[in-house]
Amino acid sequence: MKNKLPKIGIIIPTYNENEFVLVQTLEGVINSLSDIDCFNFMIIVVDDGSDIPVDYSVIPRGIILARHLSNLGQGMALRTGLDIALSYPDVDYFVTFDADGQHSKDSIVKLFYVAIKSGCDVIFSTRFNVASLLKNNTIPVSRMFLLRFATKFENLITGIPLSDAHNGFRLLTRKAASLIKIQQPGMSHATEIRLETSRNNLSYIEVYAPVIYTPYSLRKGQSSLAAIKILIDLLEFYIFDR
Amino acid sequence: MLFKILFVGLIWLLTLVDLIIANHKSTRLQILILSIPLSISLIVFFEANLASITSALGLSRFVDAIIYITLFFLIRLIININIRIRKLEILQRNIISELAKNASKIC
Repeated sequence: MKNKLPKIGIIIPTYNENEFVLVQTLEGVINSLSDIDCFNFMIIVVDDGSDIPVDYSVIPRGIILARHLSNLGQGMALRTGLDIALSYPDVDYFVTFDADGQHSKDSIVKLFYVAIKSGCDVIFSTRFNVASLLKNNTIPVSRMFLLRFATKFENLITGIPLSDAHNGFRLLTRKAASLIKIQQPGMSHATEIRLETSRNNLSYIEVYAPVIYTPYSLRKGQSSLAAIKILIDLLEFYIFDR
Repeated sequence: MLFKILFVGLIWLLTLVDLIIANHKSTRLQILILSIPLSISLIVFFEANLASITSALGLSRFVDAIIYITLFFLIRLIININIRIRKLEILQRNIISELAKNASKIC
Protein backbone atom coordinates (compact mmCIF):
# COMPACT_ATOMS: atom_id res chain seq x y z
CA MET A 1 0.00 0.00 0.00
CA LYS A 2 2.82 2.38 0.91
CA ASN A 3 4.37 2.17 -2.56
CA LYS A 4 1.31 3.48 -4.38
CA LEU A 5 2.22 7.17 -4.23
CA PRO A 6 5.39 8.44 -5.93
CA LYS A 7 8.36 8.61 -3.59
CA ILE A 8 9.65 11.94 -2.25
CA GLY A 9 13.26 12.64 -1.34
CA ILE A 10 13.50 15.32 1.35
CA ILE A 11 16.87 17.07 1.38
CA ILE A 12 17.81 18.89 4.58
CA PRO A 13 21.11 20.79 4.55
CA THR A 14 22.52 21.61 7.94
CA TYR A 15 25.45 23.65 9.20
CA ASN A 16 26.30 24.14 12.87
CA GLU A 17 22.68 23.45 13.68
CA ASN A 18 21.65 22.95 17.28
CA GLU A 19 21.44 19.16 17.66
CA PHE A 20 18.18 19.34 19.56
CA VAL A 21 16.54 21.57 16.92
CA LEU A 22 17.77 19.34 14.09
CA VAL A 23 16.48 16.16 15.70
CA GLN A 24 13.19 17.90 16.51
CA THR A 25 12.83 18.96 12.86
CA LEU A 26 13.63 15.47 11.57
CA GLU A 27 11.26 13.78 14.00
CA GLY A 28 8.59 16.33 13.15
CA VAL A 29 8.88 15.53 9.44
CA ILE A 30 8.89 11.78 10.04
CA ASN A 31 5.91 11.89 12.42
CA SER A 32 3.75 14.16 10.27
CA LEU A 33 4.41 12.19 7.07
CA SER A 34 4.22 8.72 8.59
CA ASP A 35 0.69 9.48 9.73
CA ILE A 36 -0.46 9.83 6.14
CA ASP A 37 -1.49 6.65 4.38
CA CYS A 38 0.44 5.64 1.27
CA PHE A 39 3.00 8.39 1.77
CA ASN A 40 6.41 7.20 0.62
CA PHE A 41 9.46 9.28 1.46
CA MET A 42 13.15 9.28 2.28
CA ILE A 43 15.17 11.93 4.14
CA ILE A 44 18.71 12.96 3.30
CA VAL A 45 20.58 15.17 5.77
CA VAL A 46 23.70 16.89 4.43
CA ASP A 47 26.04 18.16 7.13
CA ASP A 48 27.88 21.01 5.40
CA GLY A 49 31.12 20.72 7.37
CA SER A 50 29.78 21.70 10.79
CA ASP A 51 32.43 22.55 13.41
CA ILE A 52 31.06 19.68 15.48
CA PRO A 53 29.94 17.06 12.92
CA VAL A 54 26.38 15.78 13.21
CA ASP A 55 26.48 12.60 15.25
CA TYR A 56 25.14 9.52 13.45
CA SER A 57 23.72 8.20 16.71
CA VAL A 58 21.35 11.16 17.25
CA ILE A 59 19.80 10.98 13.76
CA PRO A 60 16.57 8.96 13.63
CA ARG A 61 16.88 5.54 11.96
CA GLY A 62 16.48 5.25 8.21
CA ILE A 63 17.74 8.75 7.41
CA ILE A 64 20.69 9.10 5.04
CA LEU A 65 23.47 11.31 6.40
CA ALA A 66 26.20 12.79 4.19
CA ARG A 67 29.03 14.97 5.43
CA HIS A 68 31.08 17.59 3.66
CA LEU A 69 34.70 17.60 4.81
CA SER A 70 34.60 21.40 4.94
CA ASN A 71 31.94 24.07 4.78
CA LEU A 72 30.98 24.73 1.15
CA GLY A 73 27.71 26.59 1.53
CA GLN A 74 24.03 25.69 1.43
CA GLY A 75 23.96 25.54 -2.37
CA MET A 76 26.55 22.78 -2.52
CA ALA A 77 24.91 20.93 0.38
CA LEU A 78 21.67 20.90 -1.59
CA ARG A 79 23.49 19.71 -4.69
CA THR A 80 25.08 16.83 -2.77
CA GLY A 81 21.69 15.92 -1.31
CA LEU A 82 19.93 16.12 -4.67
CA ASP A 83 22.63 13.97 -6.32
CA ILE A 84 22.23 11.33 -3.61
CA ALA A 85 18.45 11.39 -4.00
CA LEU A 86 18.74 11.22 -7.80
CA SER A 87 20.81 8.04 -7.45
CA TYR A 88 17.65 6.34 -6.13
CA PRO A 89 15.61 5.64 -9.29
CA ASP A 90 12.36 5.24 -7.34
CA VAL A 91 12.42 8.85 -6.07
CA ASP A 92 10.20 11.03 -8.27
CA TYR A 93 9.94 14.26 -6.27
CA PHE A 94 12.62 16.19 -4.43
CA VAL A 95 11.91 18.60 -1.58
CA THR A 96 14.45 21.02 -0.12
CA PHE A 97 13.73 21.83 3.50
CA ASP A 98 15.49 24.00 6.11
CA ALA A 99 16.91 22.29 9.20
CA ASP A 100 15.99 25.06 11.65
CA GLY A 101 12.39 23.95 11.87
CA GLN A 102 10.83 27.15 10.54
CA HIS A 103 8.91 25.40 7.76
CA SER A 104 5.66 23.65 8.47
CA LYS A 105 6.00 19.90 8.02
CA ASP A 106 2.44 19.70 6.69
CA SER A 107 3.45 21.94 3.81
CA ILE A 108 5.48 19.07 2.30
CA VAL A 109 2.22 17.23 1.67
CA LYS A 110 0.67 20.39 0.27
CA LEU A 111 3.52 20.95 -2.20
CA PHE A 112 3.46 17.28 -3.19
CA TYR A 113 -0.26 17.30 -4.01
CA VAL A 114 0.06 20.59 -5.89
CA ALA A 115 2.89 19.03 -7.94
CA ILE A 116 0.78 15.98 -8.80
CA LYS A 117 -2.33 18.00 -9.56
CA SER A 118 -0.68 20.81 -11.52
CA GLY A 119 1.96 18.69 -13.27
CA CYS A 120 4.46 21.54 -12.82
CA ASP A 121 8.18 20.81 -12.73
CA VAL A 122 9.06 23.19 -9.90
CA ILE A 123 6.88 24.18 -6.96
CA PHE A 124 8.19 27.27 -5.19
CA SER A 125 6.82 28.13 -1.77
CA THR A 126 6.07 31.61 -0.53
CA ARG A 127 5.87 33.05 2.96
CA PHE A 128 3.53 35.77 1.81
CA ASN A 129 -0.18 35.42 1.76
CA VAL A 130 -2.35 38.51 2.14
CA ALA A 131 -4.91 36.91 4.44
CA SER A 132 -2.33 35.29 6.68
CA LEU A 133 -0.23 38.45 6.88
CA LEU A 134 -3.19 40.44 8.13
CA LYS A 135 -4.25 37.75 10.54
CA ASN A 136 -1.11 36.32 12.01
CA ASN A 137 2.10 37.85 10.77
CA THR A 138 5.20 36.31 12.35
CA ILE A 139 7.63 37.93 9.91
CA PRO A 140 9.51 40.89 11.44
CA VAL A 141 8.95 44.23 9.64
CA SER A 142 12.65 44.79 8.76
CA ARG A 143 12.86 41.34 7.21
CA MET A 144 9.61 41.92 5.36
CA PHE A 145 10.98 45.10 3.69
CA LEU A 146 14.24 43.40 2.72
CA LEU A 147 12.40 40.40 1.29
CA ARG A 148 10.06 42.65 -0.68
CA PHE A 149 12.94 44.56 -2.23
CA ALA A 150 14.91 41.38 -3.01
CA THR A 151 11.80 39.85 -4.56
CA LYS A 152 11.25 42.78 -6.94
CA PHE A 153 14.90 42.71 -7.95
CA GLU A 154 14.98 38.96 -8.54
CA ASN A 155 11.74 39.01 -10.50
CA LEU A 156 13.42 41.49 -12.79
CA ILE A 157 16.62 39.51 -13.38
CA THR A 158 15.18 35.98 -13.45
CA GLY A 159 12.03 36.70 -15.44
CA ILE A 160 10.09 34.46 -13.03
CA PRO A 161 7.60 36.52 -11.06
CA LEU A 162 7.42 35.11 -7.54
CA SER A 163 6.36 36.76 -4.32
CA ASP A 164 9.20 35.34 -2.22
CA ALA A 165 12.85 35.79 -3.18
CA HIS A 166 14.76 33.37 -0.99
CA ASN A 167 12.67 30.59 0.38
CA GLY A 168 14.55 27.37 1.06
CA PHE A 169 11.43 25.24 0.81
CA ARG A 170 10.64 24.02 -2.70
CA LEU A 171 9.77 20.87 -4.63
CA LEU A 172 11.37 19.66 -7.85
CA THR A 173 10.32 16.82 -10.10
CA ARG A 174 12.98 14.34 -11.25
CA LYS A 175 13.12 16.15 -14.59
CA ALA A 176 13.77 19.50 -12.87
CA ALA A 177 16.26 18.06 -10.37
CA SER A 178 18.21 16.45 -13.22
CA LEU A 179 18.27 19.62 -15.31
CA ILE A 180 19.04 22.12 -12.53
CA LYS A 181 22.66 21.57 -11.52
CA ILE A 182 23.32 23.97 -8.66
CA GLN A 183 26.71 25.63 -9.08
CA GLN A 184 26.33 28.50 -6.66
CA PRO A 185 27.81 27.29 -3.38
CA GLY A 186 26.30 29.94 -1.14
CA MET A 187 22.84 31.36 -0.58
CA SER A 188 22.60 32.69 -4.13
CA HIS A 189 21.64 29.15 -5.22
CA ALA A 190 18.00 30.21 -4.71
CA THR A 191 18.33 32.77 -7.50
CA GLU A 192 20.24 30.26 -9.61
CA ILE A 193 17.41 27.73 -9.30
CA ARG A 194 14.99 30.36 -10.60
CA LEU A 195 17.30 31.30 -13.44
CA GLU A 196 17.76 27.64 -14.38
CA THR A 197 14.00 27.05 -14.20
CA SER A 198 13.55 29.85 -16.70
CA ARG A 199 16.50 28.77 -18.90
CA ASN A 200 15.30 25.15 -19.11
CA ASN A 201 11.71 26.22 -19.82
CA LEU A 202 10.45 24.30 -16.78
CA SER A 203 6.89 24.87 -15.68
CA TYR A 204 6.49 26.30 -12.18
CA ILE A 205 3.91 27.41 -9.66
CA GLU A 206 4.07 29.24 -6.35
CA VAL A 207 2.27 27.90 -3.32
CA TYR A 208 1.75 29.52 0.07
CA ALA A 209 3.56 27.71 2.87
CA PRO A 210 3.66 29.41 6.26
CA VAL A 211 6.94 30.01 8.05
CA ILE A 212 7.20 30.22 11.80
CA TYR A 213 10.02 32.49 12.89
CA THR A 214 11.49 31.66 16.25
CA PRO A 215 14.31 33.57 17.97
CA TYR A 216 16.53 30.61 17.03
CA SER A 217 15.63 30.58 13.33
CA LEU A 218 16.05 34.36 13.11
CA ARG A 219 19.46 34.13 14.70
CA LYS A 220 20.45 31.31 12.35
CA GLY A 221 18.92 32.91 9.26
CA GLN A 222 20.53 35.26 6.78
CA SER A 223 21.38 38.76 7.92
CA SER A 224 20.30 41.77 5.90
CA LEU A 225 23.88 42.20 4.66
CA ALA A 226 23.69 38.74 3.09
CA ALA A 227 21.63 40.31 0.29
CA ILE A 228 24.72 42.25 -0.85
CA LYS A 229 26.87 39.11 -0.69
CA ILE A 230 24.31 37.23 -2.80
CA LEU A 231 24.40 40.00 -5.39
CA ILE A 232 28.22 39.95 -5.57
CA ASP A 233 28.27 36.12 -5.77
CA LEU A 234 25.82 36.16 -8.67
CA LEU A 235 27.76 38.85 -10.49
CA GLU A 236 31.05 37.00 -10.10
CA PHE A 237 29.44 33.74 -11.13
CA TYR A 238 28.04 35.11 -14.36
CA ILE A 239 31.29 36.92 -15.20
CA PHE A 240 33.80 34.20 -14.41
CA ASP A 241 32.16 30.81 -14.24
CA ARG A 242 29.59 30.76 -17.02
CA MET B 1 44.38 59.58 -26.70
CA LEU B 2 45.40 57.37 -29.63
CA PHE B 3 47.89 55.61 -27.38
CA LYS B 4 45.19 54.87 -24.82
CA ILE B 5 42.83 53.47 -27.44
CA LEU B 6 45.62 51.32 -28.86
CA PHE B 7 46.48 50.13 -25.36
CA VAL B 8 42.91 49.03 -24.59
CA GLY B 9 42.65 47.44 -28.05
CA LEU B 10 45.90 45.58 -27.49
CA ILE B 11 44.69 44.26 -24.14
CA TRP B 12 41.51 42.93 -25.75
CA LEU B 13 43.32 41.38 -28.67
CA LEU B 14 46.09 39.70 -26.68
CA THR B 15 43.70 38.51 -23.98
CA LEU B 16 41.56 36.96 -26.71
CA VAL B 17 44.56 35.22 -28.27
CA ASP B 18 45.69 34.13 -24.82
CA LEU B 19 42.28 32.69 -23.99
CA ILE B 20 41.95 30.94 -27.34
CA ILE B 21 45.31 29.28 -26.72
CA ALA B 22 44.29 28.41 -23.15
CA ASN B 23 40.95 27.15 -24.50
CA HIS B 24 38.84 29.16 -22.04
CA LYS B 25 35.96 29.12 -24.47
CA SER B 26 33.18 30.07 -22.11
CA THR B 27 35.00 32.97 -20.46
CA ARG B 28 36.42 34.73 -23.49
CA LEU B 29 33.65 37.27 -23.84
CA GLN B 30 33.45 37.96 -20.12
CA ILE B 31 37.20 38.57 -19.91
CA LEU B 32 37.01 41.08 -22.71
CA ILE B 33 34.16 42.86 -21.01
CA LEU B 34 36.01 42.75 -17.69
CA SER B 35 39.21 44.17 -19.08
CA ILE B 36 37.46 47.35 -20.31
CA PRO B 37 36.74 49.05 -16.95
CA LEU B 38 39.91 47.63 -15.42
CA SER B 39 42.21 48.96 -18.13
CA ILE B 40 40.42 52.30 -18.45
CA SER B 41 40.54 52.95 -14.72
CA LEU B 42 44.21 52.02 -14.53
CA ILE B 43 45.03 54.20 -17.54
CA VAL B 44 43.21 57.16 -16.02
CA PHE B 45 45.05 56.64 -12.74
CA PHE B 46 48.48 56.30 -14.34
CA GLU B 47 47.93 59.08 -16.87
CA ALA B 48 47.31 61.46 -14.00
CA ASN B 49 50.41 60.43 -12.10
CA LEU B 50 52.81 59.20 -14.71
CA ALA B 51 53.68 62.51 -16.33
CA SER B 52 54.61 64.17 -13.05
CA ILE B 53 56.53 61.14 -11.76
CA THR B 54 58.56 60.59 -14.95
CA SER B 55 59.31 64.28 -15.44
CA ALA B 56 60.32 64.66 -11.80
CA LEU B 57 62.64 61.71 -12.16
CA GLY B 58 63.90 63.01 -15.46
CA LEU B 59 62.78 59.90 -17.30
CA SER B 60 61.70 59.72 -20.91
CA ARG B 61 58.50 58.69 -22.72
CA PHE B 62 60.21 55.34 -23.25
CA VAL B 63 59.89 54.64 -19.51
CA ASP B 64 56.19 55.52 -19.76
CA ALA B 65 55.81 52.89 -22.45
CA ILE B 66 57.57 50.27 -20.32
CA ILE B 67 55.28 51.05 -17.41
CA TYR B 68 52.21 50.72 -19.68
CA ILE B 69 53.42 47.36 -21.00
CA THR B 70 54.10 46.13 -17.46
CA LEU B 71 50.63 47.29 -16.53
CA PHE B 72 49.17 45.35 -19.43
CA PHE B 73 50.83 42.11 -18.34
CA LEU B 74 49.74 42.78 -14.77
CA ILE B 75 46.09 43.07 -15.83
CA ARG B 76 46.32 39.80 -17.79
CA LEU B 77 48.00 38.14 -14.85
CA ILE B 78 45.33 39.25 -12.36
CA ILE B 79 42.52 38.06 -14.62
CA ASN B 80 44.17 34.72 -15.37
CA ILE B 81 45.02 34.06 -11.72
CA ASN B 82 41.41 34.83 -10.77
CA ILE B 83 40.09 32.38 -13.39
CA ARG B 84 42.46 29.63 -12.27
CA ILE B 85 41.67 30.13 -8.57
CA ARG B 86 37.95 29.95 -9.30
CA LYS B 87 38.41 26.80 -11.38
CA LEU B 88 40.37 25.20 -8.53
CA GLU B 89 37.65 26.20 -6.05
CA ILE B 90 35.00 24.58 -8.24
CA LEU B 91 37.14 21.43 -8.52
CA GLN B 92 37.62 21.35 -4.75
CA ARG B 93 33.88 21.75 -4.14
CA ASN B 94 33.07 18.95 -6.59
CA ILE B 95 35.59 16.60 -4.95
CA ILE B 96 34.20 17.28 -1.45
CA SER B 97 30.65 16.78 -2.73
CA GLU B 98 31.61 13.49 -4.43
CA LEU B 99 33.37 12.26 -1.28
CA ALA B 100 30.29 13.11 0.80
CA LYS B 101 28.03 11.25 -1.65
CA ASN B 102 30.21 8.14 -1.61
CA ALA B 103 30.56 8.15 2.17
CA SER B 104 26.88 8.82 2.91
CA LYS B 105 25.38 6.34 5.35
CA ILE B 106 21.91 5.21 6.27
CA CYS B 107 21.56 5.81 10.01
